[in-house]
Amino acid sequence: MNINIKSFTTAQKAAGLLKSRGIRCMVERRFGRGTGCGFSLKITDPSVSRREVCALLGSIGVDCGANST
Amino acid sequence: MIYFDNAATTFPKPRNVYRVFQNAAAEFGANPGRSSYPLAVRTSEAVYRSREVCADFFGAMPENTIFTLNCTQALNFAIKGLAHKGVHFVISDMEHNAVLRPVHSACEFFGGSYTLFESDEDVEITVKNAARAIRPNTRALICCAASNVIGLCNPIKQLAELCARRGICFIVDAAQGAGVLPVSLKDGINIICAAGHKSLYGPMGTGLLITDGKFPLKTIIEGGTGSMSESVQQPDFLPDRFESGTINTAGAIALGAGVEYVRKITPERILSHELSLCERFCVGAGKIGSVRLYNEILPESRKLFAPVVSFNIEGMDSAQGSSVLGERGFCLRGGLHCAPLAHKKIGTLETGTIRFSPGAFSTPQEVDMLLQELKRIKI
Repeated sequence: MNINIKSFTTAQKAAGLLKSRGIRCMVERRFGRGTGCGFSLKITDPSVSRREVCALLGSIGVDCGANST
Repeated sequence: MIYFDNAATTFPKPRNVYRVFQNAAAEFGANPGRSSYPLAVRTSEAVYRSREVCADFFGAMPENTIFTLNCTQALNFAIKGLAHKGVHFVISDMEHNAVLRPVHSACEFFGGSYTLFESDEDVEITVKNAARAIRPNTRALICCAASNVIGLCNPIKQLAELCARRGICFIVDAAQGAGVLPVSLKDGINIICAAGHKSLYGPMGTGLLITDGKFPLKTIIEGGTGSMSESVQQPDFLPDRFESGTINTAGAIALGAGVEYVRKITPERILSHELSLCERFCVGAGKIGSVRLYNEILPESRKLFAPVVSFNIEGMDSAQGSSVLGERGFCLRGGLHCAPLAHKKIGTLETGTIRFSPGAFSTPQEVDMLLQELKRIKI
């Protein structure tokens, strides 16, 4: 599961929150045609659903975004 | 060599700051926030950890904590970022040129104006003076947490309340306050500008712009941020919006170590130590006939001041006095300290002053040695 985030700092903040909840994840550099440079929060923990992750991120004002996969 | 010029930059720094700086320069060599190979990621993470430490210290969100080159750059971002046609600013009568010049320049460029208010030892008088200076078109009130010449503190909480009531932005120049005085967004400040290399004990070439996000700022510098590179528009999100170009990576990481040091010792203890040294200096210097003090930090007045004392030696201008002391191994700055407004206020615009500013590592014995030397100086 990948959550696309424009800002590296926001991605780090999001990763920090997820890790504090025991959810394995990492920040990756992303480049997509038409979407340009950004960052992606890659969730490597199979035990968590996208819905749970997005709810957690929403609590710190991070939008999961339509382009996330 | 005895160093009493900590208001210009603190020296020495805590050992851990040197260690972290050296390690960051050697180990975190990639450009942060630009790539995803492991070295770049490790560097980015180290910068982020420092950003978190700094943000927490000032009651801010990490993304609203922007690394700058110094306090002056942060103040330029804040002041010019708020300026518009016909803008009006309010500033105190003790401001450093880091505030006065950007305000003056922005007003010249935008056809605006600014009003000075008199800072007083009495909090109520200061707030009344500031309130009287605010106009319908005032965009921001900008003031120092404490004067870099006479150490007089501005009543930050009360001024924050005033600005909130009047719906204007409150910007604090915390160059002389951050790390010793209580300066936090939690007190209602909208934007804090701080020097990393003074009482936060980081390296030179570091500063912070910290915002609560309530007053969006226009940019005065645009460029590569590693994000949204496909767009000709500067990112609208923080910190990227104000961190164009490569930051002082090792400096930013080491600044986190400086802030950790301050947090561990606590700003209250550092302030108490430094004010005690100022008291010792004022009591001793007050007994030397040839020394004239311009602000006296004594037990009954210490709550009013940050740890800075201005003085002169009879028969010498401040540059001459500081040179004489320099030749004898004492590092004190003479001159106007880039703050002509404060000198106008105390009547030393022609002579300047010599500034005594101890740091966390200064000792009572060093103060006594300076006092002994001042007694020996013959005109």
